[in-house]
Amino acid sequence: MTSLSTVRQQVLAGIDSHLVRRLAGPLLILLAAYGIVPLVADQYVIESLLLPFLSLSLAAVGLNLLTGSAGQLSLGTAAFMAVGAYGAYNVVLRLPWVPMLLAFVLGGIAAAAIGIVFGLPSLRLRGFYLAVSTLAAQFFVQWVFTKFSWFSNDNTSGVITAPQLRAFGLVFSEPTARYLFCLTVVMLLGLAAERLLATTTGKHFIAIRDNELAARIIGVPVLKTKITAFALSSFIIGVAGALWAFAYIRTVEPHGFNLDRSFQILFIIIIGGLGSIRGSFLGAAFIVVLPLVLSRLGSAIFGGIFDSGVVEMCQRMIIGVLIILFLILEPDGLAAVGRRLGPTLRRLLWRQ
Amino acid sequence: MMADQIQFFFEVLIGGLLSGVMYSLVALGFVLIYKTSGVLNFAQGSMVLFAALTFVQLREKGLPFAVAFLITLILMAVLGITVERTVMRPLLNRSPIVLFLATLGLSYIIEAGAQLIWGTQVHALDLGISDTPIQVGPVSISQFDISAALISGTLVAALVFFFQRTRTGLTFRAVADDPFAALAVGLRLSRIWALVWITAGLIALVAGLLWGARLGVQFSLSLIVLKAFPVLVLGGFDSILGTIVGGLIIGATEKLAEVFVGPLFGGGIETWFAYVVALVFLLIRPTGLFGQKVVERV
Amino acid sequence: MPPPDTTSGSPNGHLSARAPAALALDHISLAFGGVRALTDVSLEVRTGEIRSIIGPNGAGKSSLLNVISGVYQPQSGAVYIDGVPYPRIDPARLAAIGIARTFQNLALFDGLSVLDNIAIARSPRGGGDLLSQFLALPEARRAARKAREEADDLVQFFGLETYRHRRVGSLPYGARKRVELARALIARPRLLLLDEPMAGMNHQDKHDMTQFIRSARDRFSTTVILIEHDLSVVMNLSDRIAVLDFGNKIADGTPTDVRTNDAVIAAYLGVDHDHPQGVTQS
Repeated sequence: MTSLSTVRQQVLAGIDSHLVRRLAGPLLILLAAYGIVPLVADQYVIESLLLPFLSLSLAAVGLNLLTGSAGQLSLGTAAFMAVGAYGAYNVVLRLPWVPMLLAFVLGGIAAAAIGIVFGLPSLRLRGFYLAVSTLAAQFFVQWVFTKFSWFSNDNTSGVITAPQLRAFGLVFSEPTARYLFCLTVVMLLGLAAERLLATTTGKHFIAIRDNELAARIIGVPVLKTKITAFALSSFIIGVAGALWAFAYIRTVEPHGFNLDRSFQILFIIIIGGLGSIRGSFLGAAFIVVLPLVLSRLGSAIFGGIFDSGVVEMCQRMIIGVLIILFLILEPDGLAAVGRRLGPTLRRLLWRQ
Repeated sequence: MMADQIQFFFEVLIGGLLSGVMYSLVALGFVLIYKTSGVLNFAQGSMVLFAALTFVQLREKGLPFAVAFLITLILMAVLGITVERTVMRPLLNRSPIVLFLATLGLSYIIEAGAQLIWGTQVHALDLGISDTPIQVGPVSISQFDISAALISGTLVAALVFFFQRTRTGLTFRAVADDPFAALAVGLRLSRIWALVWITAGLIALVAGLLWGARLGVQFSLSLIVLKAFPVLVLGGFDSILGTIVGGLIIGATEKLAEVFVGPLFGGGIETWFAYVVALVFLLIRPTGLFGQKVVERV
Repeated sequence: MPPPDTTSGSPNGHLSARAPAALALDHISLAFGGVRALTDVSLEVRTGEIRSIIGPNGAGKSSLLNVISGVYQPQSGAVYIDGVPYPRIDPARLAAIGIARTFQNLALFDGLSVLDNIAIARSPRGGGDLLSQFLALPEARRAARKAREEADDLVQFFGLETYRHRRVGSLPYGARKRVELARALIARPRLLLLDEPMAGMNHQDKHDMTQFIRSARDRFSTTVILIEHDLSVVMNLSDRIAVLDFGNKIADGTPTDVRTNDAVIAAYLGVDHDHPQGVTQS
């Protein structure tokens, strides 16, 4: 009896320390995100840093599934965001009885459908030929939303103004409320993506990326897996677009989803780490904060000598340099840097 | 009435074919680098912008045409060699996607750098070619378009000749076929790659001058890269002949669609039409018009 | 058309008359553009044997393997597997037919762990749909556990325990070669195609790999077709050897037969390529 309870204690202790070690980080982050940030962050921080950070993180998670994990290069991410945003907008507009969360899901499904259409060429095309197909999606979608005002409730330049966020009978209009809404959606989809990568299908993604012929020969259903990757990736990106439109900027024009936006998300996953869900968040944080830091730094050092144009050009150059440096020196991005720093940080924490 | 329409159709068609030649020129810059090092160089567009901006600024400082051309060419060569040394060489043996992403970063650097150095204003560029239309039979054609197509065509022909007939060109092709074998027989890869980047710089310069004279030298010049992609897809990323035919087809169908189909949709279809043409074609023939059939090496 | 018997006069000829050959190639010809890679090659492989194909560089060995695995489509000829004719082999159906292969230049999934690299090949189309995988429903969980257990067996069989959870990309070369062999075996193939399994290995690794191939054949009772450059390995390991030169089969027989065959010696010494044809060992 005593020995049994000791064993039980030991097992519990083992689980405990293992679980604590594994979950401590994520739990702390969640605690901070839900408990501390809403208390300390002012409107500016939420509206110009946290909301874009969350939407872009989610878009990057989506792109990372397709490009980072499944190895299919996409240059049309912003187009799929646009489909999600305009899709959700039209559902809310035309089917007012549909709950808004469901409208977001439908927006995501619309994006997934378009993703499948432009992903279909991946069944026959590879590499850059496929990338060109996603570019076609980029230009075509942008054109459709600019030209056909039906999608924007007859606004001649395609601009939509998103209605207030509502879910479960609550209205999320304050910045903090929108932040919490965004956080919850992004967290749930981020966890889902992480879970997806652990499934057999997730491993098929990586197999196809690393060696498509070998994957085919051992019996991986290559075509089905690619289409799945396109669909799931576009779904997540579509929901990210809806968040971008409803929770962040709220008045959206098609031009906001241009090629530069697609590149921005591509840069996020390069800097964060190709194939890493965690990296998507790190990369997004980096890309959102970098311009701010640079312009503060610029004005601190040089004062106001340079106009905003010069500052912007400098930012673009620095981003370009960083992309190349990351690709050469740290191909696994900030996620890998974090993995290396993790144990060191933990040791420091435990010592204290 | 009918005759008028036919005449108009031919004017549009010829205009399209002539700008198609200029598309081919831009696409050729891609093919050259892709063939020899397997890199799809997204920065080709920003190189066009850089070359045109540099040239126009030198001209505005009062330098004669030839001197400005030469200095720009030297700068492009320095740029090319620098890129080869600092970006491409450390990324040797990495996956094509990584190489492409690096050139995407590169395009941000060159584009922003060019505008930092030379400013963001739009510059007019006068090459001294008259733009009054000339009458060829019943059809009137822009004189500038003809001259631009002739210059592009000459450069393309010269490069084809260089590739097919000269010793250096043949070593280029050897490198393209099998870099490791080329290395084994003692071809100096880094020198060849540097040369390739310099040639791509020359093409960017000529393309920058022609397109700059037509559209004004400004930021949007670097977007020319987006016009070259459908041409590349159509012609195959590794075929010089393909880029020429692909450029003509894209130029012609794009102009025809813009004039005759576009109005049905309220215009603006030129941003994506070429892509759709290329994609539909690709689904029928996955390796482009003249791209090599890929035999997988296992 | 019955599967051809190319082993006329072989001591075991009566065996193949009873049971169909594990694999039979019937007058296979393959060309790329104008270049002939294989000319009228016939070959028969008995169930359970280790069958090697050798020949100088460019003799068509890899092409032959790629024909069997459906990567290349021959212009003429047919492939019989256990007596069933396959006019066209779809690489995507290869595992279902019961053929597994390794690659000359390693074709592993570098981003996955050793265990995942092996487990993934167990039954890639089983294990339920995406939703049941995502929710870890019983069917998916059972399939995943089964794959993991079998992969674990192979990890032990090939002595890869220390690497089990390491990413394959970071493993030493010899270990990666073993992972690839394990991945091929987990599907319990009838036919195992090995494309230069010893390429680039040191002496010790080669010795180990020889043992692994032999004991894998015995334990999983599979038929092995082997392409290999190292002749001492081939002579030691093979039951029978076919020799290719310039896309033609110039000899076929036991290691002893092949070793003393004049055409083979000529081909390897690089002399007199004009009339080795027809000098077929029986």
